Amino acid sequence: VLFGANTFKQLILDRHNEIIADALETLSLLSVEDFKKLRQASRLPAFFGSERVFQLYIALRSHYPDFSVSPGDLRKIYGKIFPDKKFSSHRLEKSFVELQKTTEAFLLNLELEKEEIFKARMTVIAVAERPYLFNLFSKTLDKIHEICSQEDLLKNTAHWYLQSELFDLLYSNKQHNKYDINDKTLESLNAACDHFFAHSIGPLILTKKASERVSSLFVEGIATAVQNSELADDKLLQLFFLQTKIDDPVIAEKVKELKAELTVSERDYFNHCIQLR
Amino acid sequence: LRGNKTYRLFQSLSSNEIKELKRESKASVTLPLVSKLFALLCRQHPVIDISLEGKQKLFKKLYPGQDYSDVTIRRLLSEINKFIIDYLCFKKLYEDEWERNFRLMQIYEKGKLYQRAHRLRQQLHSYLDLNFTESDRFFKKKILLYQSELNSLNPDTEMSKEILREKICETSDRYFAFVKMRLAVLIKSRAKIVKTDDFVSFLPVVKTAYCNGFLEQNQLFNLYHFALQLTDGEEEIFSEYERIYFSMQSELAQEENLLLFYTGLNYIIRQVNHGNREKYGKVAFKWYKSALESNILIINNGLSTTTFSNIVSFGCRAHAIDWTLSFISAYLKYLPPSTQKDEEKYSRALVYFQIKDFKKSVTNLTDYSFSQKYLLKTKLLLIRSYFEIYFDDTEYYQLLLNNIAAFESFLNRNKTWPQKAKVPYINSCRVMKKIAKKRNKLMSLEQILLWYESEMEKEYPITGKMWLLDTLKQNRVEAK
Repeated sequence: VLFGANTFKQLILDRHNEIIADALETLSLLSVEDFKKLRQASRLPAFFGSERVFQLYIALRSHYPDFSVSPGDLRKIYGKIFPDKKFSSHRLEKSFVELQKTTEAFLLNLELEKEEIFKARMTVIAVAERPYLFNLFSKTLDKIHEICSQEDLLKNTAHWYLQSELFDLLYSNKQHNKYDINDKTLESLNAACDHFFAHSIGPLILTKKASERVSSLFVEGIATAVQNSELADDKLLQLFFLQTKIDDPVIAEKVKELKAELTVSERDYFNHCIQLR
Repeated sequence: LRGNKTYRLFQSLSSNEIKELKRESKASVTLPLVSKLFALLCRQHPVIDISLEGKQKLFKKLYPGQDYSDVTIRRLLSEINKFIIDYLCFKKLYEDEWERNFRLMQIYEKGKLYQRAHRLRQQLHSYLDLNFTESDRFFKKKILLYQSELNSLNPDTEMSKEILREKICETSDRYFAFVKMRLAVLIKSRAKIVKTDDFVSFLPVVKTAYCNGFLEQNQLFNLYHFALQLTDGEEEIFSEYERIYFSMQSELAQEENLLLFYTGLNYIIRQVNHGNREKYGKVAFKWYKSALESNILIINNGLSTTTFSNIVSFGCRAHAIDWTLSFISAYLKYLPPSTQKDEEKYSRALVYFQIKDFKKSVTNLTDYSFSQKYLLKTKLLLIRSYFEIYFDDTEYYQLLLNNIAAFESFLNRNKTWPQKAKVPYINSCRVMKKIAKKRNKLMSLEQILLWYESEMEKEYPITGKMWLLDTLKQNRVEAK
């Protein structure tokens, strides 16, 4: 016998508490301003909102921001949402699950509002499959490329991931767009993939001593490209690959020069990678 | 109006989406006039009237008794555009399980809810394992997941940092090998058609790793390897390529499936163009049929006109006339609306031409005014039909010559197509005219055939070169 009746009861209770705790934890991520905005959002169908979710939100308002809710409080909250119904932990649980879903949708929408490039990327994906919206597709792509070409933007794995995704998207939708899927697009896709790979293993090199090697099959080829050819203009990559040879005074001098040329975000990222060591 | 953003947005929405948006606008649009205008436009969906007159009517309903202000109505329309785009964007994000949960994981990580982030990360790993075949897209996402775990500030991560680094290395290598092979197939296939540079960085190192056993157990990687060989013209591996491709077609993602499908198909078409028509014509038809069954050719609810024409053409060549006619009826709706009528008329004419019902083919070509894009192929098909009829009925001689003369002067006059595109048509006309004249002077079919074969040896481009040869040969047999 794995579980006695009491253990099983305890498991259900734990699960019940976990569901409620999850919903409250998610709510606690919201700033005061955003928590206020959730009031309207809790009724929106797009955010899986409803009158019940709205009532739960109202009932929980006074517990913001730490949401320390006792079992007694939960009964009171239940009474506010379902004034005519007998207490049911299952029904209460369901309401918290719905609130959790609404809060997550709201948080995602906040990300879309706050992060221009994320919104632009989702717009491009959303309209790519709609032939009538080619103009919007191409204009949004141009906008992304404009943002991505800003000098102070951190060009790490996430950046090159985005680039490779966009060029891939552009290629897959070639039948709808006026962008000639010419060699330049494929070249850019190829370069973005090289950078993505190099940036995914670059920070790992920092963790190795000069005598050790990263266990990648292609690291040698990338190291050569960083020094001599395709990837030579990427300062972050140069730093990653030179770091293992820092004992050499010439290299140490070059590293110093390169570090001085980094933008603020690049320097922060590089230091973060060093710390991870 | 076609250039207007609101007009286009409304056209792109389905009636279900309109219903959802209407419901949403009542709850979320704070400006009552925007909501009201939106409801008015929804009634007109899918083709909304936002001409000046249409806008004036809308304005009257929103601001009864006031003078029309274009600025005001444009401001409201712009709010509606934003509302629709935001909705589409959010909907897409929510539909995409990877995108949605990866973002949420980042939100939780930022909010220091490490356990929650970790749970989502595990969920994402399972999602990838269940829904993706191992490919560059799969490994690329895996790298992001491992990296997020490595960078996580969670003190109780399951895997040690050292193991995570190893995982990143291993996954990155797999990603790199896959993406290089995919791009190599893509770039080399393109280079084969448009004669461009086919350089792919790091391809030799990936090939060397493969030769040393790296990923040799992976079927998709093997398939890419064969695809690359096909683009390099290695003929003997085609049957092996075909076998592996069809065995794993159902597991492939749409993009990979399309790439590998077209790599194989381009090879087949090259074989057809090199004269292997009998064998490879049937193979092409089989490939197209299978692609239709697995639904990979319908992209974003649309089918490319070139693919449609090719399917009709190969269907006819394979003598699958009933199948081709039902294909035309069933798939016409997937073509861009502007080309549907043209394509239907031309395809039906082509089918009648193939079953040697030339008079019906002529009727289909002459009772409809084709758009500019279709003029070259339809005019030539008309001449070919008259040419065939002329062999049975010499009274068509003058009609044939008149049509050829008209087409020649059309080709000389028209500047829409580059000279290079027109040359095969001009040559085709010239040859048909000469054959008709020789025939009219009662030259024997034997002699005409000899003359035509000598012309073929000169290797200048002729549209319908092989058809002409077949027609002459068949008529010679019938004459005997």
